[in-house]
Amino acid sequence: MARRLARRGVDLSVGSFTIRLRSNIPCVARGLELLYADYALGPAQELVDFEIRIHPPGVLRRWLRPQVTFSFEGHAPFKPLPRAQAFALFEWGLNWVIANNAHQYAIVHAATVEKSGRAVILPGMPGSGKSTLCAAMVCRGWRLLSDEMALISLQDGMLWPFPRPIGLKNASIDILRNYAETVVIGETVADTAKGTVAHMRPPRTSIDAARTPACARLLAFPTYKSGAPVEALPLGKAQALMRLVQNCFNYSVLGAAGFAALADTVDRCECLSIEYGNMARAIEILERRAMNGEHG
Amino acid sequence: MPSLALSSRLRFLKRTWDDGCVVYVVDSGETHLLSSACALLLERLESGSASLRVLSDEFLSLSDDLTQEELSGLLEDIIRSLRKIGLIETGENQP
Repeated sequence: MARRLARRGVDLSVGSFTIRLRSNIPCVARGLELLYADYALGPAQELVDFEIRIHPPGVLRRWLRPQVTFSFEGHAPFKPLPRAQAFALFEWGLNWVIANNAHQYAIVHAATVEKSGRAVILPGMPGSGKSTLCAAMVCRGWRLLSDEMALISLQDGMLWPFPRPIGLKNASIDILRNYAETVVIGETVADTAKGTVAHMRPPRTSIDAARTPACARLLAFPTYKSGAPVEALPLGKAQALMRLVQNCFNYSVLGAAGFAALADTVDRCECLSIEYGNMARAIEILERRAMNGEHG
Repeated sequence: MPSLALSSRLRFLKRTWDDGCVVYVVDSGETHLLSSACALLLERLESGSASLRVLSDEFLSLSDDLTQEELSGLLEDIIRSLRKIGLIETGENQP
């Protein structure tokens, strides 16, 4: 794997995208082997959607300290990061690539999961607890669509999966490690811009269903508050749409089509805000609302 | 008396729900959250321009708990906010 990754690269099929990754950084190869173990990792093909490289920067920077650079189509949109963050940089960079290029979707900063054909969108800013909640729901049998972005088709409003390793931060890492026996978590990296980070391997079932879209039925804006009781409050649809707009990465690019896609999503969903300190109870409420929601 | 009309220059999309109305202005790309009362006036003006007096009478007939004075204040607020984002304009004089 490491040799193939460093030379011709590896083509990674995730949902409706094929990404070619090349890297000579050992922790990227280790991350792929562990966290993308269940994906189709084919040899380089003729056509891919996106080409990404994770590589050491120029000579002077390399001489100063061991760092890595993210390159997309030959350009480096970010400053180099410490070498230990190379795998996380791949994940963060891939999010950026999709958010800036996949304009066939309205892309909302949100975790998305599905069960029995009913998808839940959990939008939220960093620190809202959406990824932790999403990871815990996945451990409880929900299908992972994405822990980072809701891909809402402009054509038919369906949510398209983009299941990748779930990004966990700080205390969430140990919470999830202890949450279920089957959880596989990759290397922990301290002192990143987001604190200590690690990624959780998605379930095989979610990867196998990565080309099956789902219909959103519940739009829940989570806020984690340590020790707080779970409180789910109905959210008006106009308010919900404004919050969805605020969390949409490519809203300004999409124009009227983006507005229509988000408004239709709100129309389809029961909308609520949920403050929680107890994950199991929050999941119970979300499941009940998703399965028995007002939209049948 | 001058009439109020939807802006002839701005194109916009709107969705209305119980808690208000969200308007997307195509020309500016801006999105605005408006009150249900604003939505009501926008919907009224979609069917044609009207003088302030006519609008005031129509709104009064819809409300059973507002005085004429309260309604005038409400209409002024609504018109001010819709004018601010350019959705309505003053049209030709109407009787």
